[in-house]
Amino acid sequence: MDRGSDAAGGILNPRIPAIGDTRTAWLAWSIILVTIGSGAVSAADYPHLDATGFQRLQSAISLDGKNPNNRGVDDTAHTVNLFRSFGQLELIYDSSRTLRLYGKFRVMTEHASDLDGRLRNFDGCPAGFRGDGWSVRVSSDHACAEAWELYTDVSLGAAWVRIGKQQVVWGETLGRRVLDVVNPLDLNWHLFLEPFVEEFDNIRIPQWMLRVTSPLPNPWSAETDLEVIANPGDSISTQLPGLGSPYNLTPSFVAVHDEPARGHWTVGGRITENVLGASLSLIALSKPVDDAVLLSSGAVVDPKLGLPTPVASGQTVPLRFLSDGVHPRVFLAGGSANYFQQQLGGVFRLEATVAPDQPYQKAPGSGDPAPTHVKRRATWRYALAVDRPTVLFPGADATTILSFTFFETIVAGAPRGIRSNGARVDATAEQLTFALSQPLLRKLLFLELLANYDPDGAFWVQPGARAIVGDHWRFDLFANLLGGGENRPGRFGALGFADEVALRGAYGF
Amino acid sequence: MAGATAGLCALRSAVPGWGARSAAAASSPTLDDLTGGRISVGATITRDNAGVVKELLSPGTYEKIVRYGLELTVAPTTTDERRLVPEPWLEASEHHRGMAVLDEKGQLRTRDGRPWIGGFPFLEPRTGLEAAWNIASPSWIEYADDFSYGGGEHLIRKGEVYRSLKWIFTGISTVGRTRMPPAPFYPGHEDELYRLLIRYVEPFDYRGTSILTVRPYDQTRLERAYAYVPATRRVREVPTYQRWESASGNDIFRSDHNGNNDPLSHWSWSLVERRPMILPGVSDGYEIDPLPTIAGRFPRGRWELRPDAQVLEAVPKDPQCPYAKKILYVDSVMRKPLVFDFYDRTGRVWKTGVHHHARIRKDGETIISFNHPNHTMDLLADHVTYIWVDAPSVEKNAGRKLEDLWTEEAMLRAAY
Repeated sequence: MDRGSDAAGGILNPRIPAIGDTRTAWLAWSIILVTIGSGAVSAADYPHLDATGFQRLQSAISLDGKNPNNRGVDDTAHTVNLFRSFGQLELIYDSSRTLRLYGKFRVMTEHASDLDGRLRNFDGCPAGFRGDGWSVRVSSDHACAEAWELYTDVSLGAAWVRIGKQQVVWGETLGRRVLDVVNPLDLNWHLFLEPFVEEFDNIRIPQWMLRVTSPLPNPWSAETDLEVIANPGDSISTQLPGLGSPYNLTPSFVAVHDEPARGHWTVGGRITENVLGASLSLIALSKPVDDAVLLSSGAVVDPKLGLPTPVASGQTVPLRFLSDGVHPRVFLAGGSANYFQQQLGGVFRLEATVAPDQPYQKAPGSGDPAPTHVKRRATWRYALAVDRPTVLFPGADATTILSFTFFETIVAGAPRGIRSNGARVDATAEQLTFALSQPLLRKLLFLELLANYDPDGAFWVQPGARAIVGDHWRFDLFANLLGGGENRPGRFGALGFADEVALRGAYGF
Repeated sequence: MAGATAGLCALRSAVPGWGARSAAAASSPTLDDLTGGRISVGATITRDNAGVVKELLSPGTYEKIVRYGLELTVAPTTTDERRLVPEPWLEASEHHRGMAVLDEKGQLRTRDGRPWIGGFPFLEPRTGLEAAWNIASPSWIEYADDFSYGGGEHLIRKGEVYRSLKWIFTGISTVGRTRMPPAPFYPGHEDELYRLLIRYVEPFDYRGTSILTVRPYDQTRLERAYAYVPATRRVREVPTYQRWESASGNDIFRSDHNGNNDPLSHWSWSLVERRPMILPGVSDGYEIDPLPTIAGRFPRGRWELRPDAQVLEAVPKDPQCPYAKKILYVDSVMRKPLVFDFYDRTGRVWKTGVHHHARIRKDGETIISFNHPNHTMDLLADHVTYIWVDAPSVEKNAGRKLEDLWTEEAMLRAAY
């Protein structure tokens, strides 16, 4: 969620079908299957094919009616934020105890603009960047189909190798991406506003990677593991809603050209360890930043979308500002510690990272209208959390989730010299998060609440209810309420237009 | 009935020795003796005649018969202990006889101060705590160093199945290992008793969720638990503080599994008496009813007169516990609770659980495993958790390593 709130800026890209790239990706996948599959050894209960998935229909009704970022594109108040079908199929083929092939395929269709004629310029499935064929995705304005994940698992003795399009998730803190920083997020269809208990599973963008995990023998611990990941260049940036979307984050008077750092590698590793009952981890990662650093490349006169801008005494011109999104490399080091404290009944969590050279916009000089250069600053992020199930209602089950999290970002040096999405950066920024999930009716009904508070004056509250009916049906009713006076880009107050009530129904198998 | 009661009273001081088992069983009164000839082997006990054997049943079992229509047919008493417990386990228990002691904290040690080395620690328990140590480890209950099986559970409300789950359940002993290397301890894990892993297969909202439990050897400490939920894509340590609720909405609290799933120090244990009881028996081979066959709630299953049942009462020390007490009915040969009743704070039997077992030959040896659907019933809510085991999937002493299944890394490897 914090990554989402960081994400302003935007993408105004032409769609690039890149069919050739798609074929290349499928070909690569086929080669992997054939190469590895030929060495498989079948056991008595292998091979085994399993399938699971769901078909979901969901809608979100706007409580605000108008997104100010769409000025000039959609100036009327709309009602429907989202009306989406989402089908997902997971195929798991276990060839032997040592070989698994896995694919997660999904098809989404978006019909909000069909239901609400006031959404005149809404591309419900925006995506597209140079080399996006590797995402194994095809889409139109209303539908997209993709192989969301596609990988092979191979056990080599005590080591385990995963090759393919995958998510890598580090850290344990609920909803906080302190260590969960390997994959970028796909915010283009519903930002980060899905039910919080699902975290980022459906929006964390899988990338083509090699991941190797192996025990690390040492004289001090019997459970030390080393994990190494390498992405040879399938670099993808945070994907944001397009202009005209009810969730658009980028003002229409800003045109962003954001190309992911395709071809730039990501490499990292993690050591995990259990010491005296505490789960510990250390990570290191080098990658291009997910969120674009926007550098001004000029302005054009645009009578429709331009912002009336004084250019001379008494004279204004509708200017549309042009920005290029760049993705400088960043190095991150961090770690986590999680410990169940029996007397207090809670798990205490600490996660922290430091980026010695986090890229920001360099604050423009007195004569410059907008940032044109990158400036780096050491940046620390950490989260302190406690999860403690608690009986809130006598006779009812304890909460399955009851957690408090304190999250802080600390930027070294004088903050006046840097900007983030054009806004000033504070030396420190904090957030407090409270999360609750209360089961009822033998864990068939859950009342849930996520409350994020930014002490600078912003909030995001997500109350909701989740019901399970029989063995196949699930229904969610939830709301997203965001606002507050702190409305700099990247803060919850900037998303005040996204208030909504949402309903989902799913058949799972 | 008076004759039956007199017969029972005469037996309530028995403390038969292991070696005297067969003789004790042979000299034990028969069902005919205990019921004055009104109930014999082969008879079916229903609500019409349950009063005759009320003293031979746990209160929970009796209530299931008279209120909810459980019917049970009494099979001949099994007298050969080798048909109730695998022979290697009996041998290990005999070999280690007399080596178990409890220290001042109630912690099980060998006489030279090491963790337990395998087999039943207390062949003839003299106290409640000693009897409780015999059932402290699921691995000891399974008579194996490691085990795994697939199975599932139906949730039944007023005789109607409304939800079904499937899972794979596995466990490994880290101490007290007798069969598979490394033995008797897993190096580096001598401070643990065992590890368990459950992985849900169905329904869709549970699918892929797995939970690893690491039980400390120290019976004052709660277990550590690690959960993998597909939506979160990570293994997270989760609290185990919430003892009085179930993981899946079934009738089995975290505290309840196998009659007791808490650190032993959380309860005050008393060996109240030993007496004959009609308890679930061990059937020849699996008899799996995938769905309830009796009154829409219960499975068929072998029941028999067990000549010597340990009545093990436990009173909670946790003031938050919703139970006033629980009583485990432990067969003195199998040393495992076959029936357990949980009492609410008003003294009513709130829940009752039953474990049936099967005897099968697999890979050249006899395995005793959970068999017919075991079930736990909430008598106050008319709600049943009906647990079944997929017979062909049962594996014991497969020689699995800790890192195969029971580590966070192994959970991630198996996940998708």
